Amino acid sequence: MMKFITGNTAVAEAVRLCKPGVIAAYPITPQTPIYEKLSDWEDSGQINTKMMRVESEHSAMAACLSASLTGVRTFTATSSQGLALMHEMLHFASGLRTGVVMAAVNRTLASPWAFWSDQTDTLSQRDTGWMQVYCEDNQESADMIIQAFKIAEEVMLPMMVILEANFISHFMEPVDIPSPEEVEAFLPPVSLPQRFDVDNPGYVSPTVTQKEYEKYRKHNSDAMAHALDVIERVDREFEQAFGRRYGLLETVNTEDADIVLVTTATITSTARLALQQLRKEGVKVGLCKLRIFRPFPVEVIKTALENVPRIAVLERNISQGREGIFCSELKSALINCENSPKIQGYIAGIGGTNVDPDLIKKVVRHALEATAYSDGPIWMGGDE
Amino acid sequence: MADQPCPACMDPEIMIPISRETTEIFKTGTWSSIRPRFSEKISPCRAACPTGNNIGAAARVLADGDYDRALAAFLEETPLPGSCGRVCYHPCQLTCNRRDQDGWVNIRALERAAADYGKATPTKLSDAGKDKPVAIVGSGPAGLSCAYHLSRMGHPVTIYEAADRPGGLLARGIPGFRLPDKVLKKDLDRIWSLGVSLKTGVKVDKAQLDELAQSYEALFLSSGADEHQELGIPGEDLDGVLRGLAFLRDAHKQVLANGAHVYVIGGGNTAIDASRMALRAGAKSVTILYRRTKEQMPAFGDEVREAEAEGVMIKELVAPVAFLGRDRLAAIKLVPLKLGEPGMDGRPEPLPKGAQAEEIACDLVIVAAGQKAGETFMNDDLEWKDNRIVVDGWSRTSNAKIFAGGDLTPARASVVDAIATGKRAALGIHLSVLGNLYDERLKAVTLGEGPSFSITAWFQRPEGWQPDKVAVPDDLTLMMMPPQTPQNLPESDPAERIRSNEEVVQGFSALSAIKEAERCLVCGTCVGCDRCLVFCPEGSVIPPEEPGGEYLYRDEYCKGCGVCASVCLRGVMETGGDQ
Repeated sequence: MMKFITGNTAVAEAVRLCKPGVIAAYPITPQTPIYEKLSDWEDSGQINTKMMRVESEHSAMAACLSASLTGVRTFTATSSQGLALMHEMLHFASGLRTGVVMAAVNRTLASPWAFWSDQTDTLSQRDTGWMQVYCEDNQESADMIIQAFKIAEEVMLPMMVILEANFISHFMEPVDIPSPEEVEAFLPPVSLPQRFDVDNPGYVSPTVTQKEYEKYRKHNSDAMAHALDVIERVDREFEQAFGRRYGLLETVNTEDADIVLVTTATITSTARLALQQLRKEGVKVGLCKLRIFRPFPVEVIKTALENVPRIAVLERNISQGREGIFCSELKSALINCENSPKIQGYIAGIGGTNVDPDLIKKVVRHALEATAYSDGPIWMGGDE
Repeated sequence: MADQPCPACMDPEIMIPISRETTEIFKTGTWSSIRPRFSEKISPCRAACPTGNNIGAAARVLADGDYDRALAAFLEETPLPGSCGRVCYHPCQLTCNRRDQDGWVNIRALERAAADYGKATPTKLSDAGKDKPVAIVGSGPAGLSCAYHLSRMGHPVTIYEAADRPGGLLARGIPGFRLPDKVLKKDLDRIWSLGVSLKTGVKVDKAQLDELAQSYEALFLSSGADEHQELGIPGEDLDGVLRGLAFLRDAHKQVLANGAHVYVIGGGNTAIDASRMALRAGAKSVTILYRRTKEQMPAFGDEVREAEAEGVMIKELVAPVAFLGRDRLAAIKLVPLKLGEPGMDGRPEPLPKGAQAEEIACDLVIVAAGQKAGETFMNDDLEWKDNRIVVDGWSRTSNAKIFAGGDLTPARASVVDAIATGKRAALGIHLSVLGNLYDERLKAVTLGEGPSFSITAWFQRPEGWQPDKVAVPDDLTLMMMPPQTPQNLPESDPAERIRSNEEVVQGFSALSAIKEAERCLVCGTCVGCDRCLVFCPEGSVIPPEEPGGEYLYRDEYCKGCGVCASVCLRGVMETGGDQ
């Protein structure tokens, strides 16, 4: 059923359809409407979920991962500072192989204080052992929540579904919300192991030896690698059920391209328009939308981009002292190709500033005409 | 790689670090030197009660429907539960740990329910006083309290009362719509049943006082502050200007209010009672004139609220400067006032505003701006200050044989505070005549920071009893308490009730009283709720073998985290007991 709703509402609608047993979250802008919506439905009896009031995001994650260890489907949502506060518990959630699903709404990290879109908060959690997917619009955000429960509970690794502040969280778009029956047919009942049993008591996370620690990390690593297959399969199943498919990444007009622009999340939508105009002007430009970030789909990336001569990565995040994080990741993925493409990173949209078609065209032209690529990023704003 | 088993199909038991072994080998008790301590305390309501009523104990048995034992618990410390259960200003309730959660427990109404529905006989504390007779002058709450407790300690007691009936302001001051006669009679009969003898119609003067001092081991003076306080303004002796207490005591004077526009001067309880009585006598309108604002009124908030509900109007920041009229009152001349800096008693001083005085036509004025002590003993060797007899912490006057209490002394002018002074004097007299009066011994039975104390505990108290420790769990702990809505206390319709002298506030029904008593946490007393046991993350709390016993802990596993203390709703468990 088509609904004209914000990204936050779309996420909440998807969560309701997936019927988690426990939701524990703490309010933070711009995520709060997700939790509020779910609370409303709990109050009106439209969702049969235990909503836990907690005193912080750290506690929210502690509650979620513990609930997941009892074999329950579990959801939380947060942003920015809240995600940063959760950091310690994110490691527990993955190390204990839970199936927690989180909606993470990208927002600037302080200081200075601000409320707009910036991907650095979720990218800072890159190494916590969570799967991450970056969504382009409201529809993809809702769809990925439904997929995430299936993926996370099968692989037994937690998953972050990432949407951007305001551009997705608060902007309204038409979103196709499936029926409860459709989702029930697609998403099997939760079947996570029940770790707590009064007749067979145990405690999780005991102190282990060096070798045991190494073993558990290897297990996680294998599971991450396996997750790529699961994500791809679930994406196909989703297409069969709902008619939409996203791929591990998406390419547009890359076959004959002199240059490919690599984007993520909402900048992609604008880029689609800008690139159409450039193509009309005769510029042979292609587009690659990265979406699954952990596990990073290296093989698919190589297949898609190894024969492209030039790549421009345009992104709304910065690893201070280096460059945009997707750019670094892309470079590392392509390093072993026969003819590695030249790659130039561009930073734009930091702090939620607008990335319009003109800026995108400027980036493409610059990357196309530059005689030499720099190893650091080129800032497309920030000097005023 | 391809031959490897699916990483997600791994045996869940080896997939994550999980141990099914016992953790007994981890002696977590060695991690810290801090230990919990089972430490029963007294409740904040008890510490705040001037008579030191064991409220928690009473509420606990009341919750089981045992009104008799609830009344017995009150009678351990107070002689007048039926009266106090109606007219007390309940300082106890202000300290109730439920206050900021779902509302205080209505302790006053519980005391009333215990008195109305229960049957109990006061216990004897001692017979050591049997050869030491004591005389008491005045049978108000202070004198009655002194007589009651002295009698429980074996003393023969005789009360001398100037009026024709006992009770002081309880009988001749507080109107029946607040304290019905039959309720007071029940309280009084209980005192007479102890063998206290009463002589009414005897006004003790200085000569008689000396006589009494000769024939008794000790005297207790509690004749109150019964004399009218004049305003000292022109026209006060005009026909139509009445005195507050006189109005309340005399039905013939009350008739004068019928059909009249009545103005009452003053902001104390007598002013409020007089204004409500005037309404019941058929006044056309009743207006209280007060020199400060409602906020500063010495009258108790409940009474002010009830009076306003009945239609009493309050005109703030005005003072009468003259009553006008030829041979009968016709008008009051009022000056407007404003509030100035706080004075000696902390209340802002009313100051002239400088504006024009106004004249208000009226039929009847009731002056109720305070009472003062009678001049009966003024020339004695007793030390006086500000129209009150000076007493020490035992209610002793400058004459070692004479004790004093109630409104004759600087105690707060209320029933419960008068009872407290009488009780203190009773113990003071008892110990004094036995040659046993030592200040430091009082500390062992002083509740909280005092001055209230337990007289029963003087004679018998549990081992390790800590009356100086008050149980005040922190707000976060109290927020874990499941809410229980306070029971409604029925009040008769204001428009209806002013047509009669029937009691305004109805008591709890027997069932509501039980429900309200169930709300009492019994702060400071372990009720065996097991929260410490359930929440202890190390499983190291050991429950008592018998109900009512102490919770202990396993030394080798308790790591002193303090969770047991932080979940204890009654403030019994605490940390800090070092290993």
